[in-house]
Amino acid sequence: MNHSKCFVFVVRQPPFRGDRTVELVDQLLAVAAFDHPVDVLFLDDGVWQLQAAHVLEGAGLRPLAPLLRTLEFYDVREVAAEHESLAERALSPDGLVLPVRLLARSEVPAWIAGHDVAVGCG
Amino acid sequence: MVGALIMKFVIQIDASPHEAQAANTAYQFIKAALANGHHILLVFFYYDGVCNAQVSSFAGKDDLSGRWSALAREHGLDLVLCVSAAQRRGLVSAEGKDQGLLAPGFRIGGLGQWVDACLKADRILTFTS
Repeated sequence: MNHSKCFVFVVRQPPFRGDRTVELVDQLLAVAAFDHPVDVLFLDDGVWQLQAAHVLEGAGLRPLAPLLRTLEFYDVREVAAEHESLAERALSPDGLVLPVRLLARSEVPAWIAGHDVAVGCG
Repeated sequence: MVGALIMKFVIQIDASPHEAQAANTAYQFIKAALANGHHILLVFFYYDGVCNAQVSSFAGKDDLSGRWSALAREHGLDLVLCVSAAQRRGLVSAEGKDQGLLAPGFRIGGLGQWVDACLKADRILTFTS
């Protein structure tokens, strides 16, 4: 019998790359549907996914964040963002579309290492 | 290989063969892993990676789909395309059927197979652009 594994999806892509955001959510949901713990980390340009939704929608883009708001119903455990990635892009943690746990760059490797499977979405 | 640790891998390929080196790097990694006695439980093509399955009109030595087919035939690899990603890119019909565009050795599957394989694997590697 297979034991449960803890997954983390590391989102490094901006929301300007076609259907990738939707496909990322599909993959997240597939893992959650099998009752495995799932976390999400926004890193580098991936933090743009957390930008206020109306900015993205005005540009005809489909943001990830409104979809992520629904993920608590699928037992997505934690949404985190790297503090330095936000700061380098002049994004304030207060202006994001959903609450995130802020991780310092120095904390990220250990945090990822606490998972069994890390899936890069670059 | 005496005393060597044999591992079970799941490989996810997210890039088309035309946009980046990632798919070719994955191909080379798999060949090296098999040559060293490791097991490849699943090669899962997702995002633009599903384009690796498309038969090239200009098949030559750079035709990666042909090389994937040959590798699958030689080693019994399971090459699985995500059906929804393949539908979005027109590789399979709305009903999820092959429209004659897929190279031999590839089959249509879903994310459930990827999750299941991840549970059995020692390592999951993602090759992305």
